Amino acid sequence: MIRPMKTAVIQEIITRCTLMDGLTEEECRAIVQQSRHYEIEQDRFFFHQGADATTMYIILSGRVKLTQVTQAGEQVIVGYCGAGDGLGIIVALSEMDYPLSAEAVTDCQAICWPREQMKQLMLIYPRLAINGMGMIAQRFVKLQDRYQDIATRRVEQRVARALLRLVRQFGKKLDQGVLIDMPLSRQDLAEMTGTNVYNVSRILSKWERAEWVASQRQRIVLCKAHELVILAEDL
Amino acid sequence: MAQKSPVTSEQIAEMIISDVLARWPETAVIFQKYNMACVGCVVAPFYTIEVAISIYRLDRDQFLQELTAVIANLV
Repeated sequence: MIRPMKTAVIQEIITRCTLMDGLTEEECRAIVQQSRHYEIEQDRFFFHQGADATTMYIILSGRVKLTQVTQAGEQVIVGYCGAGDGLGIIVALSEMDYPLSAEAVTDCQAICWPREQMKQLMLIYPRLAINGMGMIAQRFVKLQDRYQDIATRRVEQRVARALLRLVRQFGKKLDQGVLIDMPLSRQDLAEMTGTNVYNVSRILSKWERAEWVASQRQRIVLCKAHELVILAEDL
Repeated sequence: MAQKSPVTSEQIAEMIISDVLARWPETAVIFQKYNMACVGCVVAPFYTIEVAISIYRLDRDQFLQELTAVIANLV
């Protein structure tokens, strides 16, 4: 059973979301009024790669993993999303199928619009379409950075950079350091960095011995985040 | 003419690194002078100036004095 969210909290997330940039409160309300509330339990999928892209979502709570599977059956993690992020924006702006799968790694809540409805809204509020393109541009830049990492960085640096990217999105201050506030396995880190789980384990064990990181039950805390920054940035 | 900083050295020491940089972007040069990675760093929102001083083994009084001097000149 997913705990319902307060309307004020939902409003707050939606107004701060990039999709609503530059729209008035009234316009926001009109757009949200056309949306449907959506709940999904942990380990279930918002949608699968290759399926007909019918729906666009704004995440209100929870963590979502974006993955692609190669023809050989290998999985790649493209990234993670959380509150305020959009899923399937491509839906409204093109006729493509979903290019990746979106899996709820925790229980999630979202609001969503069917493709045709979002297209209609974009015709009424062009700002919405510009914002949608802005969100795609952000995703594109992130992917370019990831591509550069894969092409030029050592595995150890790639793992450090992946952790720091997650800190930027989901970091939470604790007494002993900065927690990446979501379930994250060694396998996940391998799939994010183009390496295998053995390499990730070796690297994390080394960092744990040096007390740079602590990991327990799929939760990772960066105890000496600055050491990882120095390694990641080649300082 | 030297101005009085709106914050004391001790107040700055307790502030979050990214807050200091956001409020007084001109302080970035001081961080850069000491080859610190703080400007634009993803973990800067999680640590205080005090922690940065100890991580980079800086002369505490000297560093805080330089920060407050930059801030004072902005007033």
